[in-house]
Amino acid sequence: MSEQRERWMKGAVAAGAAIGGLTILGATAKGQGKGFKIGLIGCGGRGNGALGNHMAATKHLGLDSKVVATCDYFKSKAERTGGKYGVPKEKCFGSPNGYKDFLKTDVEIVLIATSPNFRPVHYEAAIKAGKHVFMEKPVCVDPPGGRRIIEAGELAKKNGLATVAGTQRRHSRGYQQRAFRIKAGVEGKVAGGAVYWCGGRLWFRTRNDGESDADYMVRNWVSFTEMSGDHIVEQHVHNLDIANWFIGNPPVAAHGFGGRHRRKTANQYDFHSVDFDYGDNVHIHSMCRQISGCWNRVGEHFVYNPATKVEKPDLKVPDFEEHGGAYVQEHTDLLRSILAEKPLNEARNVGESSLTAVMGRLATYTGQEIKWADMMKPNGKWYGFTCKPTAEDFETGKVVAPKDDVVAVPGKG
Amino acid sequence: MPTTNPRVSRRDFLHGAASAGAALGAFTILGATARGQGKTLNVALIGCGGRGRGALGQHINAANILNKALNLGINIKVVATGDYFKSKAEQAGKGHGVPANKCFGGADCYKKVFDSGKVDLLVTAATPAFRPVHFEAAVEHGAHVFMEKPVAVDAPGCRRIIKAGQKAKEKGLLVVAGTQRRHQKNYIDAHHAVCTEKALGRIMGGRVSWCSGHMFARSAIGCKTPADFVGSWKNWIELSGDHIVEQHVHNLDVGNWFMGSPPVSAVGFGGRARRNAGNMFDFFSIDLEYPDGIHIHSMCRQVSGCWRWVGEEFTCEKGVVRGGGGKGLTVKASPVVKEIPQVRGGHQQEHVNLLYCLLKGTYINEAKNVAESTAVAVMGRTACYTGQKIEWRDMMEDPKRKPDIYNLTLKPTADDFEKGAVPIPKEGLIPIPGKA
Repeated sequence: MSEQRERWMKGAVAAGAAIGGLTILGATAKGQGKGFKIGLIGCGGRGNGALGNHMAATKHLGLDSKVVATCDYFKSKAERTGGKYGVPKEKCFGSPNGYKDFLKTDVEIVLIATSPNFRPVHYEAAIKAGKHVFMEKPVCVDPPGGRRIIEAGELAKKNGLATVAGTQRRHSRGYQQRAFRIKAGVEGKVAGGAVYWCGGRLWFRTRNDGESDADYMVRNWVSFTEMSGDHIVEQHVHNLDIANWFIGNPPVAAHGFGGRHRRKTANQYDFHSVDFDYGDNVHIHSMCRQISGCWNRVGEHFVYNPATKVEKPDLKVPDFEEHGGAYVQEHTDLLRSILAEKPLNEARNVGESSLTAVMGRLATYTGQEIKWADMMKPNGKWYGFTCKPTAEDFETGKVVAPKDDVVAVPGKG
Repeated sequence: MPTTNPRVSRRDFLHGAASAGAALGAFTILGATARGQGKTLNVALIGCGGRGRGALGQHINAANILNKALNLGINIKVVATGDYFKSKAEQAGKGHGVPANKCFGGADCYKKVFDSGKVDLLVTAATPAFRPVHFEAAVEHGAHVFMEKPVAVDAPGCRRIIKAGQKAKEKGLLVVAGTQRRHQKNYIDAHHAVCTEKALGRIMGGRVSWCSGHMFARSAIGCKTPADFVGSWKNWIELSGDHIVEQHVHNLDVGNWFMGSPPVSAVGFGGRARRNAGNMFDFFSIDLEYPDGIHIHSMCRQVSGCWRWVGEEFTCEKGVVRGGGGKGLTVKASPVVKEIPQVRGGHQQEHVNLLYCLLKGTYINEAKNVAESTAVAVMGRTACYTGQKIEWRDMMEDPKRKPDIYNLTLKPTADDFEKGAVPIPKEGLIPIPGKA
């Protein structure tokens, strides 16, 4: 990340000047009414939230962007969101294949907030269609998905397309200042720590009478491992992302413990407790839980090694911008980077953080030690492991829902 | 142990044991036989299962080892045995020439053991739930004690051990516990190098683990009587403390030892993935917070076909140390007393050390260490069962802050067994944290 962040920081200075003569925006970039054509795939709560955040960032930068298309598995949802922004009905796309027609429109920046299992397909298609992307976290549910994100991110880089992810702590002033200090060496290296997302239970949906497997899975996505990646991926990825960021690399191995005490539907666990080995004797204890009535904490705790500390009394820590909160700032940063023609690219960061969470989940589900290489090297044991049904199965209509309450059990009887 | 480690200060002992001071000079407990050759130690065993019989054998063997190495002439005489099951007491006694009328059964067997005559030293390896009562009785009687780990199943039990341990100190009674890593030279040297000589700088975090395969019953036990219950004690929370207490206490003990204190608090996650008998979990994963924001990840599992690791590891400023040492770590001045024979296996060494201390007048009392390590396991377990953060001060120090945590007592208790009022827990009914 640091390289991209640095580039952006330099880029941001130039951004103001760059607004004058942009080519990337086409006609709308010239003169008054500079702005982008915006589209949203995934019109649920977070998608609508992200769109609102994006428009707030647009306003903050004095741009005149316009929402031109929407897309959702359920057409009605795409239309509802589209209606709020004056998008014509024919530009509100439904069905699992809707994103294909959506990407044929003249949309310039695509916000993607569908359930995570669809992310690799949607992101890859958006980049191939030449769009800038903001995508929500997590970005995959299995190792092939994570690698696909990273590969598409490389294509984006090559094609000058921006990618910002919804791991918004990377756009928060406090976190950025801490990361800056770590990079400068004044904190010392991270020697160990604990990261937490322990909170109450989340919402869930039960199956409607006569509802298809696919529809039920999409509506109840946050309880299915195959859709969300389990809550360690879906939610705790935020905290794991910080560990990867502050340490500077993803872990090399995971040992995990988890189970399901209280969850009511589908097949996810409701707690995970994982030992992440980051190499060089650095271990992070990752903990996440979605059970009500328990101790709660969301955050990260790091211990820094004073023996590695560098004294820099003159270090000036930048006053990073955080306008309207990190959820808005991430869009501001995205837009500034596009305007400056120094496109941010967070695909690898968020891909690796999502894969870190996937590795933790594989460890808790199987009881095995899972190595990063197991997921990333072609001869690795988990390299090809794919959650089914896949995004493609939704497109071809071959979805068979996993059974409710049949959950992973580690080890053997 | 024994070591020149200042943490078990000889000076403290001399000061604290002023009233028992006489004992140092001429170890009155051994009486006339203590001088010169042919010292006889009257030893009793309570808890005559596999570990108890093993510990007694190691105790006798320790005397042989010391006699051979240092010509101490110790003679171990087994004078009585006790077990919940009289037949087990008799079986164990028989091998050591204990007359049948000195082999006692029943929940109150320990009383009969101490009423049967003078016991110089008790070896106890009874079910952990009974340990506080047995230890108290031994101290009251005036016996030195070797006791297996863990030493309790709940916080009140741990506090009883600590209190009785203090009383033992006042009476000059020696106490060694079955947390045998504290007696292994490789552990003692690693601890000394890191914690006293500061070879690697400060400890910044660590992991302690007992992750191994399935243990204990594989199908429903179907307890009907208290005897069934005691006979299958390793499968029940109320008797064993669950496997985090019963087994993982070893590694938690190393954690406390290296960190120099018990943790401030515990947050935990656990469950039952494969176990289908009794009422215990089969895995725990706990975040222990020690002073100064240092965290230790405690892990234990008894599920087959999973990642395994039994050990301890601490990340320091200038490197990493495993509990038993590690590459490139050397102790400058080993605190291990040179003349003590070092033998294979901590199980054996702990008895060698106990008898060496006893005969040389070196005081050793591990009651507080093992009680605190047991309490850490209880704290972690309570965190996992409830989903709450459990603080040490609430559980061990302040009766008023959270009385439900401070007083949390597992039932049936040892006293319930003596009274014959033993409610048997429902099999398969396991704790579930949080609320629906």
